[in-house]
Amino acid sequence: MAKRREKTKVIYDILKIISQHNNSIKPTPLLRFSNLSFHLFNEYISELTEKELIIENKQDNKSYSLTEKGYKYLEKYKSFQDFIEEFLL
Amino acid sequence: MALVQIFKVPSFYSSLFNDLGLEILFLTIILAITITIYKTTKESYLITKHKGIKYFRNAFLFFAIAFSFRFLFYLLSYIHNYQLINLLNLPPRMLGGGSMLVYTFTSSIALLSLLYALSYNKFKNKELPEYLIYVLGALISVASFLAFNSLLIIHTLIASTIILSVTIQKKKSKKNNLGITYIFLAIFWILSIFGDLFYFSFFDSFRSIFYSALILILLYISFRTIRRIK
Repeated sequence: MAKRREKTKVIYDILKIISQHNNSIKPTPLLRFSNLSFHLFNEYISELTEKELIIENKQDNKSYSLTEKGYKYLEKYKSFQDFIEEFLL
Repeated sequence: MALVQIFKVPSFYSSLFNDLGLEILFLTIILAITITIYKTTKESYLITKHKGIKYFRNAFLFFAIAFSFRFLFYLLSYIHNYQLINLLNLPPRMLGGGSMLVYTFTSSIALLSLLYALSYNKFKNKELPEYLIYVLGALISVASFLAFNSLLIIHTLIASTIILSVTIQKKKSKKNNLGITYIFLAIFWILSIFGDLFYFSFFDSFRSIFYSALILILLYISFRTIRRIK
């Protein structure tokens, strides 16, 4: 169960990094900022692409951007984090 | 004799329905609030998988179950007191004891879940197993069944730990948090048990005040939950 919690936090971190880089970031800096191993990073990117939270821009020298669903997830996660803090959980 | 019986009927029913009506009103409001909190926080748990949210939700779910069985206990008490038992052909002691056992078990789990939710971030590296809450709940329930006073003592201890945990966390957190609300919830929870313990006595007159306060606190928590999450 603890692993799953970490997973949601990693997803949030990846989405946040993309959002903080004007919604376009190349794989190498994203890998560095997300602090993951190459293998895990690829796993997460495949999953996020599959879930349509991010898209790969092949024209823009293979960069990643958030989809509308990704932005919504990010917003919701942020509000849930605020809830956790406000409710002392 | 027949006339006396005729004249007793209205007061008998009015007293029965006044008391029961109040209990039904409390139960309906409390169920509506606790289930709202439980349902509103579902998505936040599914997305974050935060254990604190899980136990927070569990606390309100078990409060809802506990209040339902508390109502059942009172319903059986009324039936017993108004000697309606023969009409219904029910074994009141067995049913009353059973509902009381479930009430003490579920209310203990609710209080322990709230305590764990509020102190969860202190156990990050060493998580407590979930079954521990149920084992403790069962032990408290058995102890309360043997001596109802023990419920008050144990719940007072848990509530005091909640107050202590909240006081420590409140100082660390800068945000406008729910610290004071949790403290009031713990205090009025204990007072409501006092009311239950001294039922049909001098303290009984305060029971409605304690439960009204408890409803207001739960209502405020549900309002803050909806406002923050939706």
